[in-house]
Amino acid sequence: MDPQAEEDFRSYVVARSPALLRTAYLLTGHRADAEDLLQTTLAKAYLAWDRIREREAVDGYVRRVLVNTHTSFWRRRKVDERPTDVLPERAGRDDTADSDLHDALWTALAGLPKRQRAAVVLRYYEDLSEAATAEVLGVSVGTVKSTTSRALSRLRASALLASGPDDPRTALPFDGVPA
Amino acid sequence: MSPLDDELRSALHERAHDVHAPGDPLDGIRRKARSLRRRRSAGAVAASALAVAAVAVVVPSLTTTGGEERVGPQVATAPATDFPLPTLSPGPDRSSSAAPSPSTAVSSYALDPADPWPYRGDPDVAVAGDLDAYEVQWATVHGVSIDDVELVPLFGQVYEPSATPQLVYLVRQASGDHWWGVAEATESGPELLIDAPLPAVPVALVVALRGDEVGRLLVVTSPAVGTVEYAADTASEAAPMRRLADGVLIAPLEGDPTTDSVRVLAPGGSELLRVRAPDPVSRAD
Repeated sequence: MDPQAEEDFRSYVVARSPALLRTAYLLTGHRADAEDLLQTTLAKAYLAWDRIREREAVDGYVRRVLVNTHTSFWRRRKVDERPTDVLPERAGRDDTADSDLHDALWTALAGLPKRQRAAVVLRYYEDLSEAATAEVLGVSVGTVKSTTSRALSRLRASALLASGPDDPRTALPFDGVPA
Repeated sequence: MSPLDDELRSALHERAHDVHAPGDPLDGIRRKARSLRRRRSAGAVAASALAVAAVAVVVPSLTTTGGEERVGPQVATAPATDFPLPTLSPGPDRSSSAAPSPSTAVSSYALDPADPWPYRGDPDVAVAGDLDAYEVQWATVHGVSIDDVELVPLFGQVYEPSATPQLVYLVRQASGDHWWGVAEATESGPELLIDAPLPAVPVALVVALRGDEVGRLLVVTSPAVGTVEYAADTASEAAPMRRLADGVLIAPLEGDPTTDSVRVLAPGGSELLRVRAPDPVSRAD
């Protein structure tokens, strides 16, 4: 890699690592795994840096590698991973009034299949459109819709269990499609 | 937007809010990149070492017995005849009248990129997410857009001693070029153990994979072929390989690797292919 490209890559890493690590954390649910996933992803980007013709496309490329690396090859490492009632490690303290519901959602998120979890993170955290999510996951828009819908049904059921059916936040109609 | 939409967004942002990147990650990234590059280089070297075999695997058999006509393009003679072949027992029916014409017989069993052989093996090795990752890796290694690449799985298995998923694949490119290879799932992502252009008449894909104790010879061919035999050396009689699925066979690599051979027969017994077994390759750890 020539010095200019090296500098470009360094700038990209400095600028984007924090956000990418947060996404990796939401995908993995574990800080150490997130750092490992991000490092592998950026190493792949480093090797491909000279071949990524459009710098504007870097984010999309990196996001795709991040998600696909996680949804496929982390499966083997996490073969013993199971949904649990015990909350995984917390990224930070939660002193909001919505803590219980958020905890329930986070726990339910950990129990989703990886593709569903990725769809939720891309749609609700990254705020990607259905088309952009489909591009990252390498599936059709229809598949994104159905995957997201199934994920949200499970999350909603878990949230209802946690908050009770009378909670207006979860008792209201939920169409499974983010605005 | 429903209330739960807001709650979900809020929960995700709240969880992610306090996650901060460690100091300077560049050193770690470079180290990881060097590790990945070494593994890819090992795969590339292995693919180069297999160049003869890669050509050989796609070449129809040119060596026949009993004075039969040699078949296939002349350019294919070198890989099939540059090593001493063991004595192979004749198939059950070698009469030319009982078999289709040689050219028809060979081409009808060859891998057609436009209509590839069906996927065989462990379905869990070829799930969508994994195929996506293999495809991304292939596109990355080749420096092409992922949009111009389609990876088609041909056979998948989990190598039990190390629980490593391995996939034999075909890659179709928008440019019209086709490749084949063997990829392995590792904890750091997919690795291409073998990656080579697909020659013109690929009758069978012959792969030698290093095992914990002995190498394993894997042959992926059309599900319609008859017997596939392996002879360890010139002193050994060829024996049918163990069937994993229709057209997918395996055998331990034994004997003298410079004179072992693989022979693919049509259901009628006519010889479609005879090649030297390649040397085992493995990912460099």
